Amino acid sequence: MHSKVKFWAGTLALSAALGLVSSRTAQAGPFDGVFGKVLKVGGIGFLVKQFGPEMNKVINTLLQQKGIRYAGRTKVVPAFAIGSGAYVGAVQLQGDEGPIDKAKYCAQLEIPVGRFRGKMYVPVNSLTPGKAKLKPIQGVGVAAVIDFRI
Amino acid sequence: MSKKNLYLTAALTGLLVVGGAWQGTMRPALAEKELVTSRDARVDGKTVGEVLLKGKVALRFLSGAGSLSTIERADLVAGRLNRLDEDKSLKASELRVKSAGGLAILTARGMDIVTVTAEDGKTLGLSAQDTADLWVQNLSDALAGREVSEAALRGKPSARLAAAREDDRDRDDRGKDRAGDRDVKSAADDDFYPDLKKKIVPIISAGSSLNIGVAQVQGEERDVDRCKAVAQLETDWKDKARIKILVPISAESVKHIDRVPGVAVSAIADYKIQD
Repeated sequence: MHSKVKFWAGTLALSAALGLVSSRTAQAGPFDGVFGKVLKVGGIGFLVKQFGPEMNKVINTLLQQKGIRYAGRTKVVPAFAIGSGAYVGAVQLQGDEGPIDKAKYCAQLEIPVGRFRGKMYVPVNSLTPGKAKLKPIQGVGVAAVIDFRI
Repeated sequence: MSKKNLYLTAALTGLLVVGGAWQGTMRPALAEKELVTSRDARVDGKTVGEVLLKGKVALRFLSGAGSLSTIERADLVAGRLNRLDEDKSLKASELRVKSAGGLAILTARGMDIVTVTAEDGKTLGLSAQDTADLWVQNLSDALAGREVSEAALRGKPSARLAAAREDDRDRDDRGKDRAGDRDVKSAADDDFYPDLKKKIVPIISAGSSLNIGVAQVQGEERDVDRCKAVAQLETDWKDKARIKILVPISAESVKHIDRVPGVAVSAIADYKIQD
């Protein structure tokens, strides 16, 4: 019980700090900017990891209301986008039960060329190449994306 | 008994007789159409439940699970396999083993077919995981029309499965750990992933801007064939946050959006036609 309270207090404090730093980043100096960005990436990644299942439920409920909910297995994982700026956020993945369980993150590569843009979604099983065999997960795709500019 | 009651009883008796006769004549015909059937049998003095594929014994339950008896488990498995086969012909490559909470679960097309308990393994002298692999092998053999030997039903893996297991162990010894991959691995199929079809379809994005282009979708062949386009709804907030929803649809019309399940978007290339 005590550890649960501690956990929620920590999460709330992190969220508050994240919001504070993010809102001030634009006006702050370069050091604060870097600090803010690091905190933003780490914080959003942590929050998505922690509250992925809840976010998944919310997305599914919203899509259900519009009648376009995906019928199969879905999962929300942290996502990182590079190309047209850097973004961090959450991605709702969909796919077969086996492969989707393996997907832990989603990398987005974006290539903007004038009015053209190319995007590739690569669900991966890990972000630490040395520790686990980093490889793209086949059979898993993207259903929804929400991300924030770093 | 009044005359009315007598006629009623006679009519009901007649219906029962005709119904019974119809069942007797029709059931074998219906059963012939079903890929999987179940029955109870006596093995070593014990009542066991057997699952038959194309009339040949493919699985044998020597122990019950929870409140289910051996024959009830066999019925359940037969029913589930038949339901899958009704949708689309069941293939051996679709049978998989996944691990969940220390249990091994035999699945096909994402549907749980049967949970292999520790007791199942114990009766065959195997671990639950090895029992699940063996059952997949037996079902695969039966689907391919091969006879499942009595030894295989009693827990002795075929030479092919034993060799595959030995190969796995060798790889583990060499540091190429495949333990993490085991939950989606089919014992009958060396391919790690099911056969996926990829296709390029038109995509239209609406929201913060209007874009048209192409998207790569992937999934099982029948689902991908149904997918005709992708609709993307996207919006952003002061260039700081973005929200996108990708919906593979079966009709190239935005008036009636019919989402295609089982299809996922993996890449997009589009052109902005309106800000």
